[in-house]
Amino acid sequence: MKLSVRAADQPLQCALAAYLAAVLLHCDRLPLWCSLSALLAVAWRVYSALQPQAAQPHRALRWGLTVLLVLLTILNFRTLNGIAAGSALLTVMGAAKLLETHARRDGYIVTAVALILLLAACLDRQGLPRLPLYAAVLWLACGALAALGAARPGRDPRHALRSGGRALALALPLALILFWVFPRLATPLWGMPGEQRANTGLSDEMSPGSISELAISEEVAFRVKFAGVVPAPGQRYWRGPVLHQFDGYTWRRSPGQSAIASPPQPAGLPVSQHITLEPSGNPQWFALDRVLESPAPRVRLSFDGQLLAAQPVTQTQSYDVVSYLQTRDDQPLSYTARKLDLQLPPQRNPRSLALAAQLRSASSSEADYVQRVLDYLHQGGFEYTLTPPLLNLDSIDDLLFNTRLGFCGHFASAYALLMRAAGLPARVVTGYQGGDWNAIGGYLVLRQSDAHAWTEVWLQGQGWVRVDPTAVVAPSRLQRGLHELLPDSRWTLQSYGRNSPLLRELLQRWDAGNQWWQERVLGYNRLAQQRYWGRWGDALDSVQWQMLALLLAGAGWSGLVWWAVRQRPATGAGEGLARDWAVLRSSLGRAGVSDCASLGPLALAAAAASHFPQHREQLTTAAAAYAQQRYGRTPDAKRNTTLRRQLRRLSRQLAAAGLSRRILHPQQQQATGNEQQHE
Amino acid sequence: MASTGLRAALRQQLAVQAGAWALRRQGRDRLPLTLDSRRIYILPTRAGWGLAALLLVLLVAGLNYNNNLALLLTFLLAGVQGVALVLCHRQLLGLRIDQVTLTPAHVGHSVSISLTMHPEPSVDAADLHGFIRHAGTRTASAAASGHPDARLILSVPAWVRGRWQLPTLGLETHAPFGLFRAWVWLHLDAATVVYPAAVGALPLAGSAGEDDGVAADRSGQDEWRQLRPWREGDPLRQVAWKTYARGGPLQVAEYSAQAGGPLLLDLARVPLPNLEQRLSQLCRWALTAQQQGRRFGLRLPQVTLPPDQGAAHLHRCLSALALHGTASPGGAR
Repeated sequence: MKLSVRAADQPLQCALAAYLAAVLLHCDRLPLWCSLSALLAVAWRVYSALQPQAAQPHRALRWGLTVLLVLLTILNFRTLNGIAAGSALLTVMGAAKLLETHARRDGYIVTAVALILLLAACLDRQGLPRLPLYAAVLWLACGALAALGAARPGRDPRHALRSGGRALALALPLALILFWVFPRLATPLWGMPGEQRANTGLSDEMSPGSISELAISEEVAFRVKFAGVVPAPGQRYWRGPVLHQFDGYTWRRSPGQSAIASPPQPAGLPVSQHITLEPSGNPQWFALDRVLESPAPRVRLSFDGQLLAAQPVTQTQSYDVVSYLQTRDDQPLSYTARKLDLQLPPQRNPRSLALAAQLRSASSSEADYVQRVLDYLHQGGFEYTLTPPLLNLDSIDDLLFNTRLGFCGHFASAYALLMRAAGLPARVVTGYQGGDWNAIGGYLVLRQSDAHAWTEVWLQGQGWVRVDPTAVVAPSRLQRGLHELLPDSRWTLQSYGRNSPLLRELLQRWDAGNQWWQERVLGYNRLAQQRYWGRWGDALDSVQWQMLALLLAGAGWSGLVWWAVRQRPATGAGEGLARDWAVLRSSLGRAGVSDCASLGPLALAAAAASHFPQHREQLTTAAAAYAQQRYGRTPDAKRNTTLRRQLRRLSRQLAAAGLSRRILHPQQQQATGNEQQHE
Repeated sequence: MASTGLRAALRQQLAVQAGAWALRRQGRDRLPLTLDSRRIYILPTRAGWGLAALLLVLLVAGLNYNNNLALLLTFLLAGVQGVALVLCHRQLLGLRIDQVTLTPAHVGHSVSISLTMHPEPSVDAADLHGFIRHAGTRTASAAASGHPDARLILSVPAWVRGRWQLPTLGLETHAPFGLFRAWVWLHLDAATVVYPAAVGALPLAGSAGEDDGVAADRSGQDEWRQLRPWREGDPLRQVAWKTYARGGPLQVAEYSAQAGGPLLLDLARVPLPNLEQRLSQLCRWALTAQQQGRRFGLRLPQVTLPPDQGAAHLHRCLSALALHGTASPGGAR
């Protein structure tokens, strides 16, 4: 038995597909039962379209299901605010709606649900790889609009998809222009609901092992373009969270109070960077160590040199920032700051404290002690590894005297403790180190695998001095990056790319594309608009320029669409055929067959046969077939194409025959031409 | 309930006003007519307003979250709506209306309006809907069909006999997206007549001079004289089904006119109390006489039509009956 969709349900096909595709966009964020209920609802709707006698669910059942699904959503999320809960609610409401979708209006509602789900997906994730998925959902939704708009049900859904796609293609120029000129808001109209976004990247605490979790992620943290010279890899320390509080196991930020500290003075040339920061869910912004001035109004430069935004970074951010690779600070350290960075957990790590006392007494000065501890780490048989063993609660003792295996966080932690134990203020700085140079885009990519931790020690007269204990334990880490340390069994695209130049180039191109997308498309904000439109002159301010451009663009686009629609090609099967027939007719007219325009196909063939006796057979059969196809009761699409081919071939042959005749017998043509001139 | 009633009344009033405004603006139309953009009106449908509202939501969300992808989505959909506007307008633009034909009907049946038009090649005739509004309410609506020349047939119920003037004709389309409705008003000069209802129980009786209003001879009704090919308008009862069933051509049996003398249908002599009933009865008789192939004449106070036969004669007689006592006693156009 051949299954066929009820004619009344045919306009719904595209709407169903759009809804399903929009749910699929969210399926990894939605609870399983939520996606499943959508899937089941779609399956049921398809089944009921194929089986018209299938029983419709009772009204009470429908209401019961709706209430149940909404309750489940509320129980699952404990709120209906935010993108995740909102899209879950929309999904289940859409599923419930499918149980009673009959009229055109219901189809429009399902399409609207799909579009709002698409909006939620856009708000949620904006990566370049998802763009084709979003485009596909939008296309299906436009197809659904076309299918629902058709007066006659039962048209092929491909027809609707075609006309939806065509409308989208025509809409694209306007959309791009609007995107370019439409003024963005400098500040949001109202506070955004707090998004429960999974934080990625560095957090504000560090335990042994927390950074090695990051090290296996190839996710991009940020990308940097330099205005001038690119600093050497060993100088590329990107400052992130600065940790002061140590409980013997975990390092944390300073709890609330900020020590008063005068900013250091630059000692060297500034390095200008343009940074595109990926959303992380943290308020942390990054820059090359060290920044002396905040790059944006809503971003604060903390006393310990971090950039902290007022809002977590949930959208791609790009900013220009100036850093100084060398600074000095000859002011004395304030009492509170000194107290904060000398704090040690009481009665923890006793062996390490004893070691510190021993080394300190052996060294002549603070600077000597700093070097002596480094030497200890260098020569003490320590190994750098991505998979260090677990440490007990006296983590530093365990590391220094027992396991001797650690990652950058371990060594930074141990080093800071040894400094503090000897009375030198020290703190742990986390951030990123190094970065991959992308030659195609001309920028540096910092991935989560570049996450790093180092130490800063206060030396009187010099200020905070960066000491990176990892550099002495595993010098190659800073020179060539982490991947040297990864065991060969760990296969990632990036690690494989290092051995294959082609793949490497492809990866770099892909990343450059991503950078362009993040920077130019997603990062095109009010500031970028002001920069761009401000250049147009002072006669108008940037918003007025934009409005003017908006008007012009609207007018231009309307004209363009008007023109494009006027020139539209024939759509029906019949017109192509008619056009081919008209071509044949005009070639006959040129060849001298009189009254071509007024003759029907059969009469024309008869008239033409006297001019072209050698084509008589072909002409008559073609004309008969044409008459049958065009005016007969059952036009046949397959025959249509063969007939069109036949007509075109015949036109060519007749045109060639007519031409050769005119060349062979020019007098005849001349005579008629003269006659016409006399008239 | 009261508010919906009020709304309906308001809408109706608005529609009447709009129709009158369009007539003042455009004047009456003459065929053939090619639609230009000045007379095409366009407004969003309910779905179109819905999409516009959705666009507003998307725009505010995109701006507030400062999310460029959401804004791009908004602008694309706005563009689609713009394209839908232009395409919808294009459905009617350049449409040529060639001819309008009205077919008379009896009271209680429907006058059929046939509009022949030639849409642009890419327009599907099924997307074109004709409709008629009476006092702001839609009374008839139908879709066109055919290619490349499309034909639209509207049936409007007729309730009063007499001259029937073609009211303002609307032609609309929602294609291709159902987001907009484009329409034109056509003020065409065309009229027909609505015949009296063909009802009446009295038998078609004997010859002239008898008192039941009919003069006829009843003998020999079933004797047919000859067979001739079927022509449009021939009553089905006269078709020679037997020969057709044997595989022969569709033929009509012509009855011998000699079978009965000419009939004279006289209004004054119909034994019924009511004028309308008498007119209906005469109408019925005229049709029966035509069916039987008999010659008949008609006598009304103002008009007398001599006995004759044929479709044109029948139409003349029925028109005379239709227009009896109305303002314009002349024949139908």
